[in-house]
Amino acid sequence: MDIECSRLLPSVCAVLVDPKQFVADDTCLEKLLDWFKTVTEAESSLLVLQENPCLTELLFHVVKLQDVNSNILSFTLRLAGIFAAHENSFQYLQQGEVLLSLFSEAGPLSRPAWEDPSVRSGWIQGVGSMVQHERAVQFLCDCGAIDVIFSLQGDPSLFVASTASQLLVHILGFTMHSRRAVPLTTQDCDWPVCARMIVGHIEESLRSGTVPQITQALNVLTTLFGRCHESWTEVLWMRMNPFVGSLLEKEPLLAAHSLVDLFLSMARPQTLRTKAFNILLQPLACVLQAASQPTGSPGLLDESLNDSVITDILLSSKSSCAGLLCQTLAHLEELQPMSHLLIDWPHVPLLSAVMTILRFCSGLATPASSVGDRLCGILIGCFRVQRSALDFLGTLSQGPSPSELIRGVVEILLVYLKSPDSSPTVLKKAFQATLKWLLSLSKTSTSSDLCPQTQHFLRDLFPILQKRLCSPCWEVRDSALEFLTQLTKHWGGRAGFRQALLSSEVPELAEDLLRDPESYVRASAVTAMGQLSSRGLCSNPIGTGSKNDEKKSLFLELLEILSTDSEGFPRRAVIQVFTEWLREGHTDVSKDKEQFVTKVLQVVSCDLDWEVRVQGLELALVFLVQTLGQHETECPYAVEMSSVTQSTQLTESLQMLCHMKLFDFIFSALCDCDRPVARKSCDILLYLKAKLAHHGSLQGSGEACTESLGTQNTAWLETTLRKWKARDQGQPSEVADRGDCQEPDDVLEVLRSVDLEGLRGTLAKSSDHIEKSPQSLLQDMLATVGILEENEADCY
Amino acid sequence: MPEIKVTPLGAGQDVGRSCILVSIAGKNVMLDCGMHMGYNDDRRFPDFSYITQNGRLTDFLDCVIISHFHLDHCGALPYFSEMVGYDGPIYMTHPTKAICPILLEDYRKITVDKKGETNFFTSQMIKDCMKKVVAVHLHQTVQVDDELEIKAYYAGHVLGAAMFQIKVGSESAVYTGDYNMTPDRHLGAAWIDKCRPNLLITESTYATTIRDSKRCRERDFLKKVHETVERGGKVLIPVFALGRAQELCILLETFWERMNLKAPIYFSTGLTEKANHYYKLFITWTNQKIRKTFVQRNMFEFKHIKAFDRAFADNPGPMVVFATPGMLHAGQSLQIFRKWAGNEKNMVIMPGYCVQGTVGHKILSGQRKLEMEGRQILEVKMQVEYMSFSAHADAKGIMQLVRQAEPDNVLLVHGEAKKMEFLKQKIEQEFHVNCYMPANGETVTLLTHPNIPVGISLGLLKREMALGTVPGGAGGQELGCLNGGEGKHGFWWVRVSSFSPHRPPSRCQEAQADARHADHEGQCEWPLSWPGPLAGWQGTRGASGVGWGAPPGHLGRGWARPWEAPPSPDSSSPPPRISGWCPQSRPSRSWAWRSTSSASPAACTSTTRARSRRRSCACTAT
Repeated sequence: MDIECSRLLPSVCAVLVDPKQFVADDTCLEKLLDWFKTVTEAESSLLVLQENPCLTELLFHVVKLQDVNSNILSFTLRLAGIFAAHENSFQYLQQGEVLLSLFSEAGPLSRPAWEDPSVRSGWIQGVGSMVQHERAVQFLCDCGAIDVIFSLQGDPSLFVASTASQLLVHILGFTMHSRRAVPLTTQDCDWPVCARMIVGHIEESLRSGTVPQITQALNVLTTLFGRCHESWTEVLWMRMNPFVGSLLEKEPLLAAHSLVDLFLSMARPQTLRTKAFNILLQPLACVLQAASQPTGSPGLLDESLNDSVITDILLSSKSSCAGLLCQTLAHLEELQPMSHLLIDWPHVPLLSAVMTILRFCSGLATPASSVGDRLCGILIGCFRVQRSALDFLGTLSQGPSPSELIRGVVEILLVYLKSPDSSPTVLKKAFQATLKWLLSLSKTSTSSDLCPQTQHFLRDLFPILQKRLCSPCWEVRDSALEFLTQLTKHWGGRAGFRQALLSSEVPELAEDLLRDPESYVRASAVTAMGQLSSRGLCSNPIGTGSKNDEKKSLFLELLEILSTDSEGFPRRAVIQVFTEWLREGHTDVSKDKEQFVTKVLQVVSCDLDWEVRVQGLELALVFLVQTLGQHETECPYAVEMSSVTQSTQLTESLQMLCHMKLFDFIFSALCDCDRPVARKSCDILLYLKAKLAHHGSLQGSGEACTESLGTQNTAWLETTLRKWKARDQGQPSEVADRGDCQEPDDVLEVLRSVDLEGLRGTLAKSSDHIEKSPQSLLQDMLATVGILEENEADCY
Repeated sequence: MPEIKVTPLGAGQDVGRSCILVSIAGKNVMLDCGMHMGYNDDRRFPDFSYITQNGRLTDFLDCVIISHFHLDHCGALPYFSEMVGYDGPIYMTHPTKAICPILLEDYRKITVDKKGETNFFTSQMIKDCMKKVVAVHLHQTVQVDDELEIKAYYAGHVLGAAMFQIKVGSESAVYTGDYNMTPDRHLGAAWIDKCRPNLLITESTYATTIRDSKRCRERDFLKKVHETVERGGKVLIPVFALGRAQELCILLETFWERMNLKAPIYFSTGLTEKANHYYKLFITWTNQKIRKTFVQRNMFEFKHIKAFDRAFADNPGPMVVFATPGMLHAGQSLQIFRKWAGNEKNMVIMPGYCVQGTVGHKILSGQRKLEMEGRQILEVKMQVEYMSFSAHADAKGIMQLVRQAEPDNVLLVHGEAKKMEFLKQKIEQEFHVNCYMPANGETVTLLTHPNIPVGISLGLLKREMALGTVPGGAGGQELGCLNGGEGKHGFWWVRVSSFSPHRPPSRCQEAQADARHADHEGQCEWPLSWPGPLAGWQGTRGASGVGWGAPPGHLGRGWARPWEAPPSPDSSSPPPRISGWCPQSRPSRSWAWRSTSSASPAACTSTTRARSRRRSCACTAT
């Protein structure tokens, strides 16, 4: 703990123990605890207590206050727990009977303050922190705290009750772990006292016949078996087995959900897993059976389905049917990546089942039974099931599927993409599933181009995509554009795709969406057009020049968005596209890179969105690397240029960069109030500095050398930039028009003078690191004492 | 026994991070999904593990409803939907859907800018989350599924803020979100019809405060700005992207125009255009004055307020600058503050609350020497003013809303425990209903007594009553109601030992009522372009097609009451009722309290007792 904090701490403690004082911000106490946790982990907690006696006094006095604020009491309990987690501090606090006064029956438990859930929460968290050594466990057993934890399991506050259950698991685990060397039997006498108490309580609860108590006990066991796989848990299970078994025999079944959870957490053997998986398959098997024609496709389960319970749930109401199917599909979706672990992952029947569900939902199915009829009536138009089924259908693209079924998948996907009844969320899922299937189809294709089946699919798909790009719903237009971007990214080079795309109106429609009223759509259109252009699939060339073409070039169109769009998303998308074009050497950009970069940076430098400016700097960096990097070659057999030639070329490059006003932008970004911009600029300048130092260009002469190396800050730079600006304004007009407000020497002077390394260190810190420091926190707590309460409640 | 369960995960006896779980007739709804701006880790979001322990979120929750765009009500939404995994429907009003992503983006950028904060959502996540949102109109009944329906009411507070009624069968709850019962410069007052929910969940920020007129605060604000500018000083107003900033802009713009002032006013992030766009788009959500003058002059097209350039901060002479972020914790507002803090002629006006850990918090707590980078000390000589422009209902307003909605129970959220306790007592005394104020994580369970409509012919009813076989018929205590189709059926209600059957309104009476509504159109301040299902309703209203009316089939559902028209957002009280409307044909006040199911003695909580007390009052009235 630093000296300044140590100096402030007594005053803060005095505020906390004074019931008349008021800590204005409810986060202060939480942050104070965070700090104490860090301090006690970093240095001796005992030393902290000894050097700051105000802390022990605080712990001692708060509990004795009659009119104590519940938040302060809660804080004190948690603070005591943090210190008591360390054995020597625990002993220190025990000697002063501080812990007894806080955590025993004599403490807050018997006071009206206990009614406040925050106090109970503080108590249980304090105890939770403390249980890091055996002395603490012993203390809790001796002072009756374990019984309190038992009672808190049924606390009206979810937070307290849940923490109590977790804590019992933690204590039991801790106690047993520390005794793992001793062989264990189911006999009570073999178990440590504390574990005996907890296990006894669990047994008693399971026997109680009351649902809340049984549920609490089962929850503890579920958490325990889920977390801990040590050998003693098997002995514990042997003890619990009869109690749990007797619960299963009761009619009606009590706490059924908790019992299910317990068995799931115990489900380690393969046989149990298989059984559980079969249960999961039942609803889908029921759907398949309901839909199957007399000739029928193979079912999911070998034995004929006769679980009337599942059927009853499916048919009882729309919500129970949707609920069961959605849960089943979601679980199966989670299991699919692990399908290799399951011996009999029935990929094909699952695919059939999910397609059947989708057919039921869209009214396409022709059910063969009365159950099917009713299912169809229930599921038709059910968006919730449609979403889950499409998600699962997409996941099933990762598996070997017979071509007949693939045809079916394609058909059903097209139905959903085409249907006017599909909601935007369903359409999005349909697009995602389609993309997954298309990509999986291309993987199976052996030739370099798309297989005929995929090409056929694409021919059907593009008219639908056209329609969706014209949807009145912005969410649909956006999903369609995202789909187009992804498809182009993966297949832009494949002839089949290019042919299908260019024979449709999709590129023109995507271009129209650059002027969409919704900014998200404009941004997606920008990305899509950028991708199409990169792949040469754009109808008009990007042409960086401002020709008097009848149709504005894509570059100018995007540049206009960058300079005039009132929303940040499209502007950000444009600058990302430009950077990508430059990076990948887009043909049209490569024709005149300088002009391209100059025009873009001119616009970006005025942007109010710092993310646009950061991306602009990225573009500048790409250009710098491309420009300065061309003087080097990594080829060991290349003829090395003389250092003079290299230096000349570098100076020429710098001259060119100055003419482009690239450094204007970078230097001004270094002084930017938005930290990420300044940091990016700093990184670029450090790259440049390293580059120039390599060529010895930084060994300046004359006036520049009189400056001490790298000691100036951004304030100096701002002044210098203003000075240069004034100088350039004084130049004859033809020189000023040339735009070379800086010379390479100026750039070198900045690189030599500004402490870029130091600046990078400062910029790497959070912009509010001072305000977030412990010292600042303590100062704030002292300063806010007595502030009007009015401020506190006024959140917005 | 039917019940409503409410568990706040946030906003239970505190302000910030609103998130309330409501379980009503087996349907689970999350009301708001806010974040706490005072934390930099997971604590900023509500602890959703208490929902996930009940299985998959999407399976457990039937829907999420967002009341308005403030981050303490919607800030955790992208985290919840894109990172925690909720994939179900999300509802909010159209303006909230439009503005929410801007605020979320703004905060995301500040968070990223500040660095070191992990587990935060990305821009793409915000968009993906927004694509899941279903936007609703005011007074539009939205069917979430076969059983669950929701309906939005105007809440004032900020553009697009709404209160929501949630209804499953005959059980209902109303959640107010943040609301304001008095109109302000650009918004109207909150309004809800007499929907008599089983439960009203209301915010209670100003539970014990009767707030001074906002006009006084505005005058004070203008005086301070004017004085500073007059003496050549600069005024910095740190704000968040959208919301209060626009209100203050209107204030200054009007004042500058009136006083013919020349000092420049700047807005730092180009948000004036954005605000302009949204206020134009949702002009029907603003107050009547703005709507009326919109044709001649858009209040949000500012003549005096210009875009700010970083270099302007160093210009000599007076100026006023609106800069983000609102708590002086990063970016432009902090940079300008640093430049201007040393001059006692300048002023910073904080129009909102600042969390600990920000420069805003420091200066509001009176600290005048601030540590800056490199152990430098910044001496704050400029004047520091705090002026709350938050638009919450005060104690009077909250009572007014309770009176307006006539709930069976009230539950207080979004306030401080001590203040809530006071208001709770007040509500219980005045309205004889139970009032609850659960802490975060505590569950309140209310037993409800849903009405079960029973069809019975009038003749049979009379015969049975005469024989004393109908509950209450022979001196029974229970009240009930019967409702059936066609003219031969009737309502009945029983008071201690007597009953009177009432004929339901005939089609003819309904038509007459409609005609009366039409007669009053001129008197009701009903916006022509009110957002909502109005267009769909006009078909039932005859040739005039203007004004309000009931959608077909709504009469008698106790849901959309055609005789209680949604008001103009300007009015602070409900619109005038139509006099002359046959009282018998309208379900009486006691309708909603009557139950055909009798509660067991054990289930008879104080709610039942309170209800009994009210019954006698209502019966006397009828």
